[in-house]
Amino acid sequence: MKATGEGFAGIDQVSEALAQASYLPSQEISTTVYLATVLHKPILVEGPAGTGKTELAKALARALDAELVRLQCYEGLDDAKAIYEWNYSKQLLRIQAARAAGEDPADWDAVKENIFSEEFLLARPLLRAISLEDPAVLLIDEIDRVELETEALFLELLSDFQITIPEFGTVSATRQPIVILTSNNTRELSEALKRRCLFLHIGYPSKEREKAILMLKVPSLPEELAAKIADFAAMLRSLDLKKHPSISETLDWAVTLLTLDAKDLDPATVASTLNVLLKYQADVEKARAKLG
Amino acid sequence: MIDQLVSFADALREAKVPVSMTEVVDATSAVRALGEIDRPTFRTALFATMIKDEGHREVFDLLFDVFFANRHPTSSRDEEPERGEGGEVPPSEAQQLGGGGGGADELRRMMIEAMLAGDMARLARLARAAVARHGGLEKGRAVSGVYYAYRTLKQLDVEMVYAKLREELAGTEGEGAIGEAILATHVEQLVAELRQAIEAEVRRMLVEDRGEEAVARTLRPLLPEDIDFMQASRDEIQKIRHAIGPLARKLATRLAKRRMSRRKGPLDFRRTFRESLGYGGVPVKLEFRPPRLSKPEIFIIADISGSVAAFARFTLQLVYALSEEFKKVRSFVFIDAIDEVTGYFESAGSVEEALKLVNTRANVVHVDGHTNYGHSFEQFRENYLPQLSKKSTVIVLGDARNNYHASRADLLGEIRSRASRLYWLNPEPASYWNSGDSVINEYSRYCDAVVECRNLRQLEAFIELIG
Repeated sequence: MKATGEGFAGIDQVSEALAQASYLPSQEISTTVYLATVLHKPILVEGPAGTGKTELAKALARALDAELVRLQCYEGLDDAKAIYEWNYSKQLLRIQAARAAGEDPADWDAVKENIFSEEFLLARPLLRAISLEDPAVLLIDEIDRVELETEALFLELLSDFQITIPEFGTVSATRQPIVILTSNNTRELSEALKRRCLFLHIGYPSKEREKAILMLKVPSLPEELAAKIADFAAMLRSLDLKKHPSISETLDWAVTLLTLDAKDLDPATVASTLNVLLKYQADVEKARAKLG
Repeated sequence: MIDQLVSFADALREAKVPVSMTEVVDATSAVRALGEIDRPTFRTALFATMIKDEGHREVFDLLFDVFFANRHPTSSRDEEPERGEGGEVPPSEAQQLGGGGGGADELRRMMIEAMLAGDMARLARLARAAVARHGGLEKGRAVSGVYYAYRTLKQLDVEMVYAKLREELAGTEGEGAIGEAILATHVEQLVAELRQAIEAEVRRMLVEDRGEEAVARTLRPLLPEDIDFMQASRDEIQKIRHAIGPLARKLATRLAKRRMSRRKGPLDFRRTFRESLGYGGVPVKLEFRPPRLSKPEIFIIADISGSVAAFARFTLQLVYALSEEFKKVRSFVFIDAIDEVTGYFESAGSVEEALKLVNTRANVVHVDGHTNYGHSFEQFRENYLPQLSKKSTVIVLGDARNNYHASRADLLGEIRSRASRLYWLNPEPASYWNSGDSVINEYSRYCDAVVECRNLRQLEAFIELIG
C-alpha cells in the first residue's frame, strides 16, 4: 500500500514506505516519524555527521510524494531569508507604473493596499512550506548554526503552523507540512524549541542495518563482503577514536573495495584503504596498531 | 497509566533530567495514539516525547526498566511469553536443566546458546533463572542490586563465558588480525548483553519487592556531568570521558559567541549595502563584522598524585579540547616535583596519548612521591615564573593536601602578582577543606577564587567564567 500525502496508517507502513524510497529506517526512526505525523509535531533529529539525518527528510518527501522545502541554517540567518521578504523593487516598479498610468499619487491608501499584498511577497522556505497546496516536508537543516535569538523565528511555525506578517495578517498552513529539524549539537538549543519537538537521535546503525544499507546503496556488493564491512565498521566504532566512521564513510569504503576488486578484507587492502574510513591520521595509526 | 507516567517523570527530574509538564502530556497522547504496542515501541514513544538530549538516554533507560519492567504499559496483560511458577525457570527450560540440577555450567551453556542465536527473550528467561538461583536476593533490603548482579555473574563465571564464546565463534569472522579484532568486538558485545540481561532481571526483582519509586531512589542514577570525580568507578570514568567531547564543543561555541557579542568589529560593507536596498539605497542601518578579541593565555598547574589524578585528567582533557578558544595553553604537572608537559599535548595525536606520556615520562617525583605543593611551587618559580605575563590566567588543580609539608603560600603570592588572574580548583567538597592536612586556606588568600569542582557541571561553569 502506497502512503499518501495524508500520512501513514501505522509504524510498519512508515518503515515500508521509507524502504521503498531507499532509506532503511530503524524501528526507532519509524516510530518517531509515525508519532510526528499523528501528533502533528516537528522532529528534532540529532546524531553524528553522516548517519542520514538530512537523508531522512529527503526520503520522507519521496515516500509521501511530497515537495521538500529546505532551509539551510547559517550564522546570521534572518527573517528575510527564512520566512518572507517584501519584493522592494517590484513595489517600486508598481508605484512608478501607477504614476505613469496617471493614477492619483495622492491616493496613498489604494497604493498601500496594493503593494502590501500577496503579489509583492517573496515567500522564503518557512512561508512557502505552509502555503503549498500539495503535501510538503519542511527540512530545517543544522538549526544549531543560527544564534539562540534567531530560533525564536521558528517557534510560531513549529507550534501552530502559522506565520504572522504585520502588514498582512496571519497565514495559517493550508496543509500541515511534516517538519524535520536537524542539529549537529554544537550548542544547546533553547528549551522553547526543544519542547515543541519530538526528539530523535540517529546513531550508528546496528550491524544488520548497516549491512542492509550497504547492499541497498551498492547493489553490486556481494552479501558476504557487505557483512564483513559492517562487522569491521562496528569494530572500529568500539575503538577510542577522534571520529568514528559513519554510514557515508562505510559506503565510500565499500565502493573503494569494489573498485579495487577486493573479494575479502585482506590486511594489505584494509591497511591501504583505511584512510577512506578514518579522517584523522592519529585514528588511522591507532587502527593499524590494533590490526597488527 | 497517567499516574505511572507522572511518577516516572518525577524520577527523571530527580536525576536532573528536565521533563516539563507539556512533555508528559505529549507522552500520554503519543501512547494513546499508538494503541496496543510492544515494549520497545513504548520506550521509543516515551523517549521521543520526554527526552531532548542523547546524553540523558542512559538514565532514561535505567529508570524506564525500573518503572515499566513488570507491567505492560497499555494493557493489564502480562507480556512475558512464557513464565514458570513464581518467576522460576519456565517448564521447557526446567526440563533442559534436568529438574533444577545441572547447576551453573548448564545454565551458562544455555545462555551462550541463546546469545549466539540472538534470542533475547530466551536470554531474559535464563537470566531470571540465574538470578533466582545465584543472586541470593534478600527481601526488603534497600540496596541498588549491584551486589546481586555481581554474585550471579560470578557464579556463571564471566571468564568462562568469554572463553566459550571465543571458542564457539572461532573462525567465523575470518583469519588474521582483522578477524581477531572483529571477533573480540563481537564477544564483548555479547557479554555486555548478558550483563544487561542479568542487571535488568535484578532490577525487576527489586521492583517486585519494593516498588518502583523506592528502587528509583536507591539506584540514584547520575548524568555524566553530575558524577563526582573523586568517587567515580571505572565505568563512570568512561562515561565522563565520553561526555567531555560534546560538552567542549558546546562550551567552545558559547565562549566564541560571547566574545563576538561584546564589541563590534569593522563595518561590514556587503551587509550594510544589502540592508540599504530596503530603504532605497540609504544606509539606515550599519552592519558590523564580528570583532577579533584577544584570548586568555592559560597556565595549568595540576597535582596528579593518586587521589586527584582523575580530576586533573578531566580538566586537562577539557581545556585541551577547548584550546582553540585560548591563545595558548601551557600545562605543568607535579607530585612533589613539577614538570612542564605542554609538549606532550602538542606532539601526541590525542589527549589520551598525551596523558599516557604525562604518566610515563613527566618528571614529577623528587623525594618520595608524596604530594608537596611547597616544593613544586618553588620549582615553578625558579623555572617558569618569568614567562608569566599580565595576559596569563593561572589555574591550580588540586586538593591542597600537602602531607604536612611547608605550604610556601608566599610563592603562590609571587605567581599571582606576575599573572593577571589565579584560580584554584579543588575537587573536594567544600566541607572537607582545611580538615586534616588540607591547607587550602593558606593558599586561598592569593587566589582570585577557590572553586569547588567535583563534577563536569561545576567544571563547565568555571571554564565559562574565565573563557
